Amino acid sequence: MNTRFCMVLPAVNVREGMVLARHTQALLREQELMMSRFIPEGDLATLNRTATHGPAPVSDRLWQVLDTCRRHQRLTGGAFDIAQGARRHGHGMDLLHFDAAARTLHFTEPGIELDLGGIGKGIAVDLVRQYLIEQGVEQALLSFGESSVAVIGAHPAGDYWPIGVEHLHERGRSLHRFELRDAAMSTSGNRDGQAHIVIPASGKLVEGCTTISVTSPGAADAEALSTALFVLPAARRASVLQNYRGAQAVEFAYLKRDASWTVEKRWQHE
Amino acid sequence: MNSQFPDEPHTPASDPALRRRFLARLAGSIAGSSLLSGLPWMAPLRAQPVGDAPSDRVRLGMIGTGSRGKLLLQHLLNTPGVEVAALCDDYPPHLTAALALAGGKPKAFTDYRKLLDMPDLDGVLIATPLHEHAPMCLHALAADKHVFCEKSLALTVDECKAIARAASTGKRVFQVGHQRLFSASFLHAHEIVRSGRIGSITQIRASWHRNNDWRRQVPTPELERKLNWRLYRASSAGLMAELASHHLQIANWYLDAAPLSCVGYGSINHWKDQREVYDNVNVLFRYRDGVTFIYDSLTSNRHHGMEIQVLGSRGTIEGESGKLYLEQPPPAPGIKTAIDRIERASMETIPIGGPSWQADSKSDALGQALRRDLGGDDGTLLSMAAFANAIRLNQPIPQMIDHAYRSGIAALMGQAAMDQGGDIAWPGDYK
Repeated sequence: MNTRFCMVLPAVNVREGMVLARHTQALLREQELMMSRFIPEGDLATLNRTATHGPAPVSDRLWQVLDTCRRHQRLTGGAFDIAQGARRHGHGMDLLHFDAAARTLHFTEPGIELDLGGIGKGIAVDLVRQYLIEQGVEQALLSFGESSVAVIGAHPAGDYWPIGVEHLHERGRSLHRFELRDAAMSTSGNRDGQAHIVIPASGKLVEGCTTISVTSPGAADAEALSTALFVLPAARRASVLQNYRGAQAVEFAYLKRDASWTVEKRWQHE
Repeated sequence: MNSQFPDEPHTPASDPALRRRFLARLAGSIAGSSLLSGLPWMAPLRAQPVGDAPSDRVRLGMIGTGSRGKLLLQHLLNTPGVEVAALCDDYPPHLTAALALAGGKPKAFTDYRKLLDMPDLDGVLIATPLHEHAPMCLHALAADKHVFCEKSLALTVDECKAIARAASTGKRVFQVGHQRLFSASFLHAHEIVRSGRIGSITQIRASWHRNNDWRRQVPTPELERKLNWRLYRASSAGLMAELASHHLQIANWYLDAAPLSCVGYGSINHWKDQREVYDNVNVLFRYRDGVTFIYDSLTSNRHHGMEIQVLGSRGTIEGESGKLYLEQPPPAPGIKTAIDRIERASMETIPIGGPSWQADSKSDALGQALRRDLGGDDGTLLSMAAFANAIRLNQPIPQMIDHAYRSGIAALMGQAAMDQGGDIAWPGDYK
């Protein structure tokens, strides 16, 4: 997924930790193979090549992921959409024809490609967290490329993990503190000059230097929601958030004045 | 625009004014840099480049004006405070061309001993076929001249010993043409090796592959052995001396040792044209603590080009491409903070969340570029400046004789191993 995965296991000895790290690595490799657009023999890359030509078989594990994506598409009113490249703006996943009985998927328009960049890391983090809990791990901090963070239990010195949104241009400075316990945080945004998230309704990239951070019990939920909120105007966000119980969100906007950046909290939901 | 070579970029190597500023800036940065000032052979460069006053001028003579000699001459002509006072070559076309390049000003010689008789000449640069290095170096040192000799040091072990002995007992500057000693990325790599960041070195691998016949056009057949001296045993130690000696010098430098012994196989398996030196060399050197240096060189395939890889328990350096690869990439800054807070039982906020961190590119996700800030120079320009400054200060350059001796001998060990078979032992120090 072209990023790094880090985990901190405070109450695990080195030997057990190394075993957990090895298994986690194997889990992540499997997830990457399934969800990456760039590994030619992987599940998603294969589907992207074949589903334009007709109903294509979907592996069970990928089907489950796509099902999750459909749920988020519904819950976000279409703001979360993994189908890119449709010729008509405002159309994405509604151009996918799922056949649940046959376990096949057909892209009904040419040019469509599925991209799990807005949820894949969260799905993988949820899986790793589940694995660690099953292994008896009671405290952990997991970070997948800093955009998908999840915790198990609480920080050894407190009742929660004090997780901060980091200032984009001042390393080590926290802009907002979330108190996480068995929960996840996801951040979507643009680093300076690196617009990369598409607004499904218009087909345009979100411009400007802003970030949205979302917390929720699940990492995949948090990531899908942060992706959706990032492309939605503030007025429409509250109605989407009603569908995600326990979610909190905060938006920061960065402005460049002369040579330095100023940052303001633009919007918040608690 | 580079007036001599219009297609080449505008760098300190090509522009005298830029070069003067570059050398002045460098003198300042060397004074303030632990990286460079820790290396004794950089010390002469700390001296500010001088003006054009006659008292500041160093008068040099060039012996050998073929392809390498001509390149050195171009650098020298643009080095501040250097006057190229004499040129020598026994092949008239080269001498004529070099004289023209130098604007006709230097005195021209066909016999280097006559050049050495010039009383007001401070030093010489020797860029001649390998078998001529020893007599020329010894004569020049005997004539009390400062000497810059192109690599490799000499054709035989005895000659190497004689030069090193003469150079170390005299008071004059002796420098060898190993420009990587003055290259930014090799200096940076050396700093990383010394710091222990890549762990202890367990193996060094290097190779130099080309695909050409290594021949020069010869106007008449009787000039064959003279112009194609690299191909014949009487004048050359082949690929070991001409190419391998550079990477052997890096290995000896980074391991801070000479090799203990060497084995190897070589052959002429492609260019079967009466040449006497191998076109395919494969050698394996043993250093102390079981560390090995593996080297091969070809002139029948260029796909893998040239590289030296320094392998340590914690990382790898690729010297020619200027890259560092760590076995364990460093963790995210936020993770370091988290560990620190846990260890201090602190509930201070852990700033970690942000848009996805991305590797710069998939293929070099773990590689870090080494420094390349010495003005695009591969070290040749700086080694000329260092030679001139060392002469001006009349201070021999520390460790330079050891660099010359160790790499020169190691190249000959490789050749001997391929010729004789079996294990060739280090033939001892020169002192």
